[in-house]
Order: sequence, then C-alpha cells, then structure tokens
Amino acid sequence: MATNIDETVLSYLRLASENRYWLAALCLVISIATLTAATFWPKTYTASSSIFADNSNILGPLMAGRAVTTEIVDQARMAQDILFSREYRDIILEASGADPARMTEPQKEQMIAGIQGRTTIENQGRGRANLIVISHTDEDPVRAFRVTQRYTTLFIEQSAISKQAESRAAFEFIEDQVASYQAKLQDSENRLSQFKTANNFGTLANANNRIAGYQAGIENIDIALTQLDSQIVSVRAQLEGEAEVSRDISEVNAIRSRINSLQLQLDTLRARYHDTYPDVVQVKNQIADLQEMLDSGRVGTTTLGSGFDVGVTTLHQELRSRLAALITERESQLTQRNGIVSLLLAEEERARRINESEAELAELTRDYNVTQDFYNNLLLRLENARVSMHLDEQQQGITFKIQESAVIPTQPDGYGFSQLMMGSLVLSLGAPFGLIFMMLQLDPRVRSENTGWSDDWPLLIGTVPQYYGKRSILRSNGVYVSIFTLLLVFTYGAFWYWNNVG
Amino acid sequence: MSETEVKKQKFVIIDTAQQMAANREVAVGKVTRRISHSAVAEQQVDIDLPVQPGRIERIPTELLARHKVIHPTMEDQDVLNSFRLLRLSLQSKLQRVNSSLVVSSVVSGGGASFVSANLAAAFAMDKQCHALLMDCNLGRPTQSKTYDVPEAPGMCEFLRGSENSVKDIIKHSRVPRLSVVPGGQFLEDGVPEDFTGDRFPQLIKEVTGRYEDRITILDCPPILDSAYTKVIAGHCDAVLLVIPYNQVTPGRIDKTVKEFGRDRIIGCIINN
Repeated sequence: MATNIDETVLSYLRLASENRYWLAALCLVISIATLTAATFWPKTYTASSSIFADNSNILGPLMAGRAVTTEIVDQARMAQDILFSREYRDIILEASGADPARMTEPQKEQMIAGIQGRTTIENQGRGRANLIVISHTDEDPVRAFRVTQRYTTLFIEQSAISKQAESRAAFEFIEDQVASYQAKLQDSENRLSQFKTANNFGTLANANNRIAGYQAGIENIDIALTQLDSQIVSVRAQLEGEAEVSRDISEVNAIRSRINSLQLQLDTLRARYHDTYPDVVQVKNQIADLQEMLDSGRVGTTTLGSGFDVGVTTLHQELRSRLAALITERESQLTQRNGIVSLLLAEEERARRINESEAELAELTRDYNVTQDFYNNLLLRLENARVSMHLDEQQQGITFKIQESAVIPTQPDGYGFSQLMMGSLVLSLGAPFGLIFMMLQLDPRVRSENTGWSDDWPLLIGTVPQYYGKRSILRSNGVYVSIFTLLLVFTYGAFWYWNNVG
Repeated sequence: MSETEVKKQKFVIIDTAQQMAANREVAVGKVTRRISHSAVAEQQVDIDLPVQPGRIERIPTELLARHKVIHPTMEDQDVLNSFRLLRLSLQSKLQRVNSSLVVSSVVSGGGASFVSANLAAAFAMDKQCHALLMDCNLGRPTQSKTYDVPEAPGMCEFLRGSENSVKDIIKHSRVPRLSVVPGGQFLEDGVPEDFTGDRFPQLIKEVTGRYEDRITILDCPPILDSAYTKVIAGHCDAVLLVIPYNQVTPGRIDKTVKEFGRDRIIGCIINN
C-alpha cells in the first residue's frame, strides 16, 4: 500500500512536471475567470419584513367549536394569491420606482413578473406557523426595501378584508344550503303524507287479526251447520214415524207459526248483529213476506217452504215446526257463512295491498328522516358561520402585527469577495490536480509493475529512475514554481485590491 | 594528479548488495554525501580512481555526465545503483559471461540506447568483466557520440563488406574495460541493413568467442519499427526489453513480446 502511495505521488509529480506549462496556464485562467466573475457579478440585496399573526384572543377558546378562525398556514398562500393579483400591480410598480402610466401592458407584465419572481411570502420555519415573512430581492437595496414595505402594508390591509369576505361567503353559502334542504324536506314530507292518505288500509296486524276472526267465524258456522244437518235428519226421521193427523191447523196458523219462528230467529240475530246485517235483513224480509201473505189472503194453495207440511197432529205439527225451524236456521247459517267468506276475501285483498305499500312507505319515511337530519345539521352550521362572520367583522379573530419591519439592506446576498476568492483559489489549484488524477486513472499506459502489468509478460528485473543529472525533480521545477506562485499571488492580490480598495 | 590529491577528492561509498562488497568495487576514502553544485561537478573532467595500490583508472566523468552515463562518482546514486542491480540480475540469469544481449525498447525513443550505454558502463565497472557495446540502431546511431569514439568504420561498413576486420570496428572508449562498435556511416543509396547475411552472425560469433569475460551488448531499434531487430535477436543469447515510463500501452508490449518470443526475453525494465 505504501509503495502504491509512493508510486502514485511520484506519478502525480512527474505528470505535473511534464505538463507544468499547461497546468499553470489552466490554473491562472481559472483563477482569472472566477475572480472576474466574482468581481463583476451583479450583487443583489434582499429586504424582508416579518408579520406576526396573533390568534391568541380570549374569544378563541370561548368560541371553540362554535366559530372557525382562518388557519395561519393558509394566510401566507392567501396573501401571495392576493398580492400578486392584477389589482395591486400598478401599486407595486410605483413602489419599485417605475411609472405605470408611461408603460405599455407588455412592459408592465414583464416588470411585475420579474418583481414577483424575486418576492417570497412564506411561513417562517417549523413551529412558527404564525410568523409570515415577506422578502424581496433586487440589485438596488433601496428598491428592495420599498417593494417589501409596500407588500407588507398591502398584506395587512388586505388580510382583514379578505377574512371578512371569506367568512361572509361561507355564511351565505351555508344559508343557501339550508334553504335548499328546507324545500327538500317539505317535499319529502308532502309525498309521505300523500302516500299515507292514498294507502290507508290500516295496518297489516289489524288486517291479519280480522282475517283470523273471519276464519274462526266460518269454522264455527261449519260446526253449527253440521249440527243442524244432523238434527234435521233426526227430525225427518221422527216425522216419517208419526201418522199424519188431520189438518186441523189451518194454513193461517201455519203461517203464523212460521212468522213466530222467524221472529225468534230475528231476535237471535239482532242480539249479535246490526239491522243492516245481511242475515238480519233477509229474515226481516221473510217475515214481511209472510205477513203480507196473511194480510193479502194469498194463503191456501201457497207452499210455505220445503219441508213445511200442514194438517198434521200436534206432535207432528211440533215436529214439522221444529224441522222448519232447523231448516231456517241452517239457511241462516249458510247465509251468514257466505257473508263472512266475502268479508274474508276482501280482507285478504286488503292485506296484500298493505304488504305492497309497506316497502314504498319505508323508502319515503327513510328519505324524509335523512333530509330532516341533514337540515338540522345545516341549521347548526349556519349559526356557527354566523358567529364566525361577526367575529371577523369585529376583528375578534386573527390580528396581524408587524414583528420586524423592512430596512434598507447594506450587505449584498451570498458570499463575500474574500470567500469567493478562497473558493477560486481552491478551484484553480484543485482543477489541475483533478485533471492529473483523471489522466492517471484513465491513461492505460504502463508506468510500473502495479499499473497495468500483465502476468504474460517477462519478469520485471529493474527500474531505472529518472535521471535529472544535477537537479532533483523539485529543483528542476523550482524556478517555474516560483514564477507561477508569484503570478498567482499577484493576480489574487490585484483582484482583492480592486474589490476592497479600488 | 597525485595519490594524495586524489584522496582529497570526494568519493561516494556504495553500500549496496553483497556482491558489490566482494572485490567488485572500489571503496576508498570516507563517506561523503555530496551537496553538488553544477560548477563543482563540471570541474571534474576526469578523475582517477585508485583501483588498487599503484594502479589508477581514469574516468571521463564530464563526458559521461553529459551523455547521462553512469560513473562511480556520479551524484545521482539512485540511477547508479539501479544499473548495478540490473547488472547483477543479468549476471545471475545469463549462463555465461561472454553472452550477447540485445537491448531493445518497445517504442522508438524509449531509452534503449540510454539503457544499453549505461548497462555497458555498469558491466565495465566490474573489474572482472569487460563490455562490448555494439550500436545496431543504424537509423539513429548514438553510441559513438556517447563514448566519444570515431563513428566509422563501424557496423555499416562491416556488414557492407568494406571493412573485413572485426578488430578495426571495435573502438576502445575512454572508459576502462568498455569497447564500442559504432553504427558506422550510411550510404545515400540505401541502408545496408543486411543482418540476414553471413557477416553479422560471423561478427557475433567472433566477438563473443574471443574473450570469456566480455559481455556483448547490442543496442537495437524497436522490433515493431524495424525488421532486422528480430534477425539480430535470433543470433544473440537474450533480449532485454526496455519499457519507457508512461509511453506505451499494454497492447504494444504484448505485440513486442510476441514478436521476440517470451522465452527469448530475459527480463524487462521500466525506464523512467
């Protein structure tokens, strides 16, 4: 490793010695170029001011959750958007020393673009989001100061106005939304009401209860009919066993007997139903017909219903009466059953329609509920926005104070000439060595056993060092190094004098 | 110059390998590290080195310094030692003292003439050895100037046949135990590079067979630039390849080694 370092150093020195004129020239050229650039490069000056956004007002915590103050982070961006707008273009141009009245539009645009490009409005660092810094860079320090100052005053003025406008706009927007949702809620309510009115079939539970009742009634009637049938069969059997006696009961008596029987039946029905009930009506009609027959004298040859025979013995008569009553009862039951069946069918139809309308009712109800919730929410927000708007109108939210006002900069931006001079020296000395390094790295030519030597070649049995005769490598270059050093010192000295004294 | 005056001269004691300490070099006087000035060095035109009591050798130091040839009292001991080490290395590798060694560079201007001149001087420093330096670089002969010997008759004349005696083309230089065969003079009608004939092998045979303690060093042009170098190498015992510092690519070295044949090359040296 040491050998490699020695060889490398020797290679450097040798290459530098062989190309000393070029390297010296390169060094001087770089020095002069960089020093010239450092001397004549246009200097810029930056003026800046800082603005403190104070949102520590006592109302803040009191109104927390009920009012919103504009975020600090947005302020810098908002300010930039406002201040860079066309509205303030002429004001800024005047502050920079231009006369907008004598400038054409393209000139104004070009100039303002340049000013805005050199102006920054931003929050100052981490943890200090409430400190806004406005800075402007210009070749003229006075101009930099004026533009910065103008931007600062405009920022303060416009921030308050824009805050109020923002909160008012927010309030008006929410107000519009409230009105819109109010209309929607009303509409939803109307639709629901109309639907309920058009589909008042009652509840499904009631319908099911009635259906169950009707079905129970039909079953009871069927049971009663079965009993009646058996009784009728029994009475008929008895009647067949009885001898027929003379017909001492006149047809009138028969009719009267029938009427009495119907009357009993009617009483029974009335005890359970209204007079408008079909069975009741039917019995009443039958009574009326029989009474009419009695009154009109059409009794005699008229058959008084099937199974009702006249001219029988008292027992036979009683049996016949009983049979007639049974038959009548059976018919009544049948009539009643038919009535209940029709009611049952109607109720089942209603239940089906109730089912169909349930889904639509649920949807309408949901729509109404959602709209109502949203409307209530918007009402709450509207009140919050109203309070925020009043806060901004009375400037009880964020206030802006100039923390550090702009001053005329006395020192230019960037590095001083001394630092640039050092940089130039480093570059001018480093570049040649860098060049030599690259040459040594990239040059494939053989310089020693350690650089590019191949194992296929014969053995290296010796190295002849450089024969300088009477002088060493340093001494042979001593004069040149001295002259070069003097030139370099003179160059840097001249430029330093020019920049600092001249 | 009296012996006493000689003793007052500044000598440099060479402390190198064991072979040097064993009756190969003169170590006389005190060790003095010379802080040389050009004026002081140039004042030394010739110095007399006492090689043994009563015997003095005269070294043309000014001539040698001018042509960058080593001599025992030179200031740059690094160069001197490097050639001494090279000599020792070659002596250990060559099978006999009276060998013929071709010194050729990879590229033109790579230092083959410089190395061959210095190598011959290094061999001549060995009291047990003689050196014959033959300038075969007929396109650019330099050895006659280096050692201040007449340019002609030389190799060209011998090969042309205008000079038949080997003895006549061997010139004794001012350096003890070192002789030179100069390149000779070219004729305008062409270069008599007739190394392929019988005369050159005859010459080599005669010069190497005449003395057992004389090494023959042939300064040849690069093999890739001259066809006859290969012919010369074919008649010699070994080849010493000179690689100039930071001037050749590995590819060129590969070609040169391939042309000579790796087995024929006794070793390489890097010439800084």
